Amino acid sequence: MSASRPDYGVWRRTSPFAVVFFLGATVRAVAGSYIQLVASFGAIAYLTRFDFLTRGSLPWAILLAVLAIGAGALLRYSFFRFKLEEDRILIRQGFVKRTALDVPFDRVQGINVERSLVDRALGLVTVRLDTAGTATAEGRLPAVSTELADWLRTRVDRGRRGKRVGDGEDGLGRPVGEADAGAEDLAGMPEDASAPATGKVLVSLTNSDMLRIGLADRKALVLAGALAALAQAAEPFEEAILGVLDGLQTAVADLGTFSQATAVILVVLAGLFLLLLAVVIGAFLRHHDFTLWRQGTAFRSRGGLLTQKEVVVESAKIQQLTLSRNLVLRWFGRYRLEALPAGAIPVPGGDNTGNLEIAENLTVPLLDGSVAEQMRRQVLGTEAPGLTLIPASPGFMRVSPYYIRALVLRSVAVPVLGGAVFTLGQWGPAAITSAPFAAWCLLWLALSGLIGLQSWRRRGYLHDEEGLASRRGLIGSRVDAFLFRKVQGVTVKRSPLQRRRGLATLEVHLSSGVVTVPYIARDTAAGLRDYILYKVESTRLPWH
Amino acid sequence: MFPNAQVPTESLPHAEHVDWQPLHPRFARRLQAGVLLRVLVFGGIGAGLHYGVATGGMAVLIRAAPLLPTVVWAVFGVISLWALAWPAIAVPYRGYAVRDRDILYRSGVLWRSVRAVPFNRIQHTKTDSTPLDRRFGLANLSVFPAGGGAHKIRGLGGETAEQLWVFVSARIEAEAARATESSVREPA
Repeated sequence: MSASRPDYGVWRRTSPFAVVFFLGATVRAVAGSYIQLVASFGAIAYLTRFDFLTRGSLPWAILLAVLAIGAGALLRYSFFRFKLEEDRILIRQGFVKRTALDVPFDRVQGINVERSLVDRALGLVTVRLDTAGTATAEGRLPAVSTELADWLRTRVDRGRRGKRVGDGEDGLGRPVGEADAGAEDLAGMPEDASAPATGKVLVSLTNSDMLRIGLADRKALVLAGALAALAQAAEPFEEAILGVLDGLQTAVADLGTFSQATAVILVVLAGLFLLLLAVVIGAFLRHHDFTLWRQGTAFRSRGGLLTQKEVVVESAKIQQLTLSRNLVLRWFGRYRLEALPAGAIPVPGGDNTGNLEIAENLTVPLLDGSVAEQMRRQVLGTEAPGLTLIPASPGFMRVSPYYIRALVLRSVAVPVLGGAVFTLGQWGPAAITSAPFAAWCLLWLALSGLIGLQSWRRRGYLHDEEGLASRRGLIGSRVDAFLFRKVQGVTVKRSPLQRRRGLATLEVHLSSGVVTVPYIARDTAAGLRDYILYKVESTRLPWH
Repeated sequence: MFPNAQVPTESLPHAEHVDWQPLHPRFARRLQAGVLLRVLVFGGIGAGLHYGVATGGMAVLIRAAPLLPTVVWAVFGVISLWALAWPAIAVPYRGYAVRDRDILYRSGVLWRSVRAVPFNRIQHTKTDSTPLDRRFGLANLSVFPAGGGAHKIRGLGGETAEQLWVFVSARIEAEAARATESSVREPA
């Protein structure tokens, strides 16, 4: 074993550098809960013209706040203890509200590792124990040695493997012999347990991929929208901007005369460029050097520029695979994949699922369809070989065209009714029959008709005897695939329209979320429901 | 090798063809009582506001829009009547069925749904009752599958809820035992 066995049964502290971690955590907590308070105070001070600066209280207030945060971080560090035992880890933390966390190794879903810049400089890591179900407090060990992290990982892996072998299958539903081979694989792990073994790397992203991820980032679209809105709002400042440009113009007289339009276009272009730069830098920060690889029965990913993040997910714990692409990713011919492990598992004694620790999703920000299918085969393949994650696959069956009507009704009702109320209030009852109102209704009808048609074309589902894949989308597309035996509950819903046409909507509840197949024949929905129930109730395999 | 006999899908038990158990007959009245309480509270607040506005310095508001209070009170009345009538319409459409391996719950007047939760996926279960529920001798049963989203059956008779809770708890334990037993036996 590469990592030496640490002492059992001793309460230990983490490295003093963990103060940096607690400082970050405290600042985040303060920012989260008090920022609004501070903002309101600021607003009040501004409105009442209360001058902090001249009275000299602002510097003192800032100093006090910094001192308080620093002291909070120190206290949190000094109250943080953890203890390793044969089969579990105990964590004690907090000085105002003391919490004690007891995590048996076999409850740990995965051990994820983060390395901030400071951590990396000092050879330390921050370990996060994914323990869906146990926690109200966080299972985090800040700034511990890499050896301890490796040891924990091996220990948790071994515990899980032992359990799986007992279950008669490893996480992939492979026979026990193969799982044993996996265990040997673990024993013979290289010195650096976190390094991907050659030949098992599934995805490895390059710098040009970062550019693609940045461009495909949804935030880019939102920011572009915000920029457009800002451009609208910036009109009062136009004079000022033009003034600056005028200044530039006189400074560089050779460039000739700027027209106002050119100036505005230049400003917008500069804004867009900055925006792109920001999202691409964001992609670099999050996913730089991203690698996804197989290790034993688990999938592991690592990436990030300043803070390096490692996510480990056992394939047996994966409840659902989601492959999606938006317009930009479609243009690049790539996809984004998410492997969702069990979400919150409720614990006896509490019905509040809000404060449970959610296991980390394994996200691959950019990958080829073939790699996604390879991963699908490794996770679901041996059991449900008939499924696919590729949206364009011909195997997908369409849902009923009445789905379009339902969507149109849903999206037309609000604007038309709203328009009617507005028209009535503004111009009286006569205006309801006028041409502008009719045009308004027709416009919405046409628009939602198009949206409905496109959504219907993208809707689809396919299943084999062990699993189901559901496809949806409007501009982009997304496929969710899961195994029947991991299902937590099934609902069949029927609206008045569906009842008239003999249709139904199937809702499948997984511990990672809900997958819906709308507007299929009622008999198909009921049959699928009965079959899924049969599969769940007769299976002998664990679902997580 | 493990046995893997083909399952004739037509012969699977249909979740539709079950003997649906109705909720407790007093449940509609309990819901109506809840609505009535809320109507009284909101009505009281509304009357207070109305009085305050009419007699206080805001009388100018009433003069500006003399019809406003009448319209507001009419809307409030219609909504209250509808809310009072609704439980009597909706409750007969709700029901539950307990099978050997799962529990089913149906609901909805226009949008009807039937939800099924297998016992071997339920993490735990509990019963609860508000003071108003207890006044009508009712209790609610919640089952919690993984992934959040408690599945609550409201409006059971107090005794029925207790019996169901005992039964479901026993079934959960039996399923857990079955899973462990099979996992011990499986490798052989």
